[in-house]
Amino acid sequence: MSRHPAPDELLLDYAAGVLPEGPALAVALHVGIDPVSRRIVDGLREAGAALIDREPAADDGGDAALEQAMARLDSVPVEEPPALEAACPGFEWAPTPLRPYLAGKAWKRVLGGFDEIRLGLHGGTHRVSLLRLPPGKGLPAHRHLADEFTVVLQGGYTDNTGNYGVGDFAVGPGPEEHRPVADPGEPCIALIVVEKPIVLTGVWGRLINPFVRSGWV
Amino acid sequence: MKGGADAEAAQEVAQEALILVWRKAASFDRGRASAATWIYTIARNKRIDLLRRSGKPPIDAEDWLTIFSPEYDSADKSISAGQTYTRMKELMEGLSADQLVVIRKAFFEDKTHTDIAEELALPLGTVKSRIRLALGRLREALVREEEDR
Repeated sequence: MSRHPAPDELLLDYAAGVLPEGPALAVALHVGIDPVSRRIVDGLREAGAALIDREPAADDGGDAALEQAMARLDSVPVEEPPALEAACPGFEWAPTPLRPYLAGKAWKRVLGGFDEIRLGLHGGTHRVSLLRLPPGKGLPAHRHLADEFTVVLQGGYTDNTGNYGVGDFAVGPGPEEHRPVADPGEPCIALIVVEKPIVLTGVWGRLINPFVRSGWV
Repeated sequence: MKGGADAEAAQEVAQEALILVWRKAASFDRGRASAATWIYTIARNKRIDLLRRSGKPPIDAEDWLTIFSPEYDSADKSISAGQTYTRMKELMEGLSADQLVVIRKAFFEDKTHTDIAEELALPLGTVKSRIRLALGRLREALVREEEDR
C-alpha cells in the first residue's frame, strides 16, 4: 500500500472514465502499481454497474434493435485477447499504460540538470512529461498555478510535503513553492501531469521561466 | 440508456456494445470484473465514443480490456468480482442522497468532480468530502470482503 494514494475524487473520476488523457494516464499508472487503489477503482466500477442496474429500462423498441444485433453476431469474429505492448528497450521500468507513448522517444537533457521526455497526447489540455533526476539532485524550486499530478515510477524523491516512492501519487501542493530532491540510489523517474504552465521560482526559475512561457521546457 | 443520447442513438450504442462484447469475449476476466460491470463499461465507453466529447481520452475507450495488464493481477484475484458487485449494490442503497448524486453524475452524466461542483454550485471541497465519505464506506466494505475470505 502506498503512503501517498491518489485522492478519492480522482479515483472516482478515473473509474467513471471521465478524466482527460493526461490525468487518466497518471491515475492508470498509480492504480497499476497500488493494489489498494486498484481495488477501490474496481469496486467503484462495480458500484457504477449496480447503479445502472437500479434504473428502469426504457420501452423504446429496443427488442427489435437487439434482434438486429443478434443477427449480425454470426458474422463477427471473436478476437484473441490483445497482446501486451512489449517493454521498450531502454524503458524497462515503464508500466504497460505508458508503453504506447514511448515509441521513438529519448531522454533529453534540460537546463537545470535533469532529463525529460515530453509525451504527445491527443488532447491539448495538459502537459505530460517524464522527468529523470539523478540521485541527490533537485528540481528547480517552483510553484503551481494549477493542479500538478506526479506518479513515481522508479526511485523516489522528498520535498517539504514528504517522501514519495514507486507508485506514490502526489497532487501539486498549490501556491506554495516546493523543491523536490531525488532520493539516494537509483535515478528518480516520475510522470508529471500539469494543467497549465508552472511558475519556477528561485535562481533557476528566473533563468528558465521565459522558456517555460514559450513552451520550451 | 441515459446521458443525453436519444432513443435511436441509445439503440445504436446498445447494438455496438453487444457486438463489442462478442468480439472481446476472450478478453473478459472474471477476476477483474463481474460480467454486468464489464458489459456496462463497454456500453458506457461506446456511448462516450458516440458523444465524441472533446478532450475525451482515447486511453479510456477500451482501457477495461487492455490497460490493466495481467502483470498486476496476481495478488488480488482471489475475491470474485461478482461478490464485489453484490457488496457494492448493497452499499449504494445505504449512501446518503448527497453522496449518491455525486456518484451517479460521474457514471451517468460523464462529469468529473470539478464539473459536478460547478453544476451543483457547491464548493469543490464539499464535493470532495462527499466522495471521500462515500468511498470511505466502500473501503470498509472491501476490507470486510478480505476478512470474509
